[in-house]
Amino acid sequence: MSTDVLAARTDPRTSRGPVDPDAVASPAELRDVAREHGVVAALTALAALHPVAALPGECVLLPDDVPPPAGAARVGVVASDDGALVVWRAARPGAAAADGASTVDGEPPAADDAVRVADAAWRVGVAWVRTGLCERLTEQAVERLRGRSVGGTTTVNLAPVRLVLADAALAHLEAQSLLGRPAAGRAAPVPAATLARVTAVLDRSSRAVHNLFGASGYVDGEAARLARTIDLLGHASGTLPTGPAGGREEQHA
Amino acid sequence: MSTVDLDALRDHLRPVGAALRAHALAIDADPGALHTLLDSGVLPYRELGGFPPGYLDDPLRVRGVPVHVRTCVERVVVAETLAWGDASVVVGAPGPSMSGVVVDDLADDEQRDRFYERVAQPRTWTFFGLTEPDRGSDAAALETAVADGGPDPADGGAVGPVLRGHKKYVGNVARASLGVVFARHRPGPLGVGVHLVDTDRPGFDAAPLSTTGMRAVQLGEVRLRDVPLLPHDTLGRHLSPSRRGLLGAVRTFNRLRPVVASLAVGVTRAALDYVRAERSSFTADERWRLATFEDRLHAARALVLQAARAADADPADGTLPAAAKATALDLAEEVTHAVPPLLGPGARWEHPYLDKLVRDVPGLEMMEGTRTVQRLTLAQGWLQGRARHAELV
Repeated sequence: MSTDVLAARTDPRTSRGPVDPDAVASPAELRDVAREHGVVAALTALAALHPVAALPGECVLLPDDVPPPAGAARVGVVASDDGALVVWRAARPGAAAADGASTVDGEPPAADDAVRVADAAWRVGVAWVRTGLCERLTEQAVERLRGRSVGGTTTVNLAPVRLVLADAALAHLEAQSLLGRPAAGRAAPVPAATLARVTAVLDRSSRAVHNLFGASGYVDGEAARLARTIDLLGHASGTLPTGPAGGREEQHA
Repeated sequence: MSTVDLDALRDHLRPVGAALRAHALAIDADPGALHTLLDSGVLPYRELGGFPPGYLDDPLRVRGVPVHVRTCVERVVVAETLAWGDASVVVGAPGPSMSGVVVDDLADDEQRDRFYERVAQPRTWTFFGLTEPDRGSDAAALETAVADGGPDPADGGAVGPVLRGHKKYVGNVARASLGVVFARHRPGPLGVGVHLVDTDRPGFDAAPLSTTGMRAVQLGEVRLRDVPLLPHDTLGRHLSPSRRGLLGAVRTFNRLRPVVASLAVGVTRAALDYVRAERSSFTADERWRLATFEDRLHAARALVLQAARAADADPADGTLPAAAKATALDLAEEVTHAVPPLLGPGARWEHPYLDKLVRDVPGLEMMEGTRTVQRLTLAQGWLQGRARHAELV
């Protein structure tokens, strides 16, 4: 039996079925929202699930209509594939807002235990969102490669492409498994090392999948913006400040 | 074998790299700012363009010795040194660029004069028209064709052959004066020719694309709507069929891959130097990782230089060039992503030069074949006994 993929497309949704972005009950569902509805809906759902939180000096990416933490300064904008995300930096204790940066009313948050817990919960939610976005990017890549061929072979059926897709699938599974540990009985937030591992796995996978788009993925379009959004969400929220510095690819070097 | 003192060449060009750095963010924000850089006169783009002797009155001189930047070894040293400032300007500057390499390989004397005399004029860009929208990874299946133009609507006479097709992801094409177009005149691998085309011909319709990085390159697309083709446009008429067209172009790619690898080395060097300039102390773990990156950078540079020597000696063998590109891109991707977190949360926004480096690397990935293609080439060459005994020291 041929293993070639010609036109058939399986339903990418999980056994949970279609997810309503306005009725997300657990962080794991953020993955589905991100995959099916995109980053804006997913981060909005995350903000409805957990309060937006960031330790002093840390950054969060938020849709335009999601309020940032009190005292946060706006430091940039990311053009995602389905809308703009604003980059906010939480105020540092005793520090004035950066020159030229707009600030939000309120006092800088103190880095107490409550903020640390909220910050960790937010980062874990972002990791679930990134997992779904990586799946979204992979599905888009497959869709594109189904319509292309090299030497008469549909590109998605080429062995090097399938290896990338297999690695992507493994990455998505590993991320879910690691992020699911608290739900399996752990009361504590995801450990710093675990979150760093999830971030590294998703970083590596999303870059490899992005390369499947070839030069078209380098033009400022949907795939490029989605890949960049995944990248920058990881940069801002991918590691706990108490975790391995950087916590990304280099920790495996 | 190059007789140029490569260390002296690096030293000579280091201030140019620094000048490119000073303009890099402005060009990244607005590729039109490249003209401001050119106006400043700090970039000797004509001298660095790789012109054959005789086409420029004032070749680059390093410690009094003329350097024409014609060998792959010279090109990689130039590219790495300038990429420390801005890799995209190295590729996006006016000059012969990729077309020059294929002209060197395939053109006869008359065509060489036509090309280089034109490009020697100030601010003359060239383009390399190979990639097509739906055939990016399958050059052998390209569809741009040399077609019969039919009767001339003006006088009923024959128009002659025309170029008909669509090229995409072509650097500098929207501002180029001339360049090369790969087009098919008959089926099969020998049925693809390379044609020297002036962009002011009727039917040549080019436009820039917006990219996420390497913005000075001004990637673009061109629609060829029955562009008239003249007999003297076809390169390699004096060569055997196996030396012209796509097969001939393989030699071009093998000589360009070490250059792309050297751009990645320059970007890596830039990222490491940047973080050391911004931070004076590091944790033991960070010091360890930076030292590892430095070691790998040293190794990558040695491999790139050896690949350049190999390409100069035998441009038909792409094994080491493929190894060089894969190695340098792996490192550049890893380092550019590893460095921003060393400068704290939000470094990608507060240090926009680092973010530019991150965005430029995927552009290098796309040039002359992705790392997947390079690994396949390397494996093929290794299985055929090439590069097994390469000596880097």
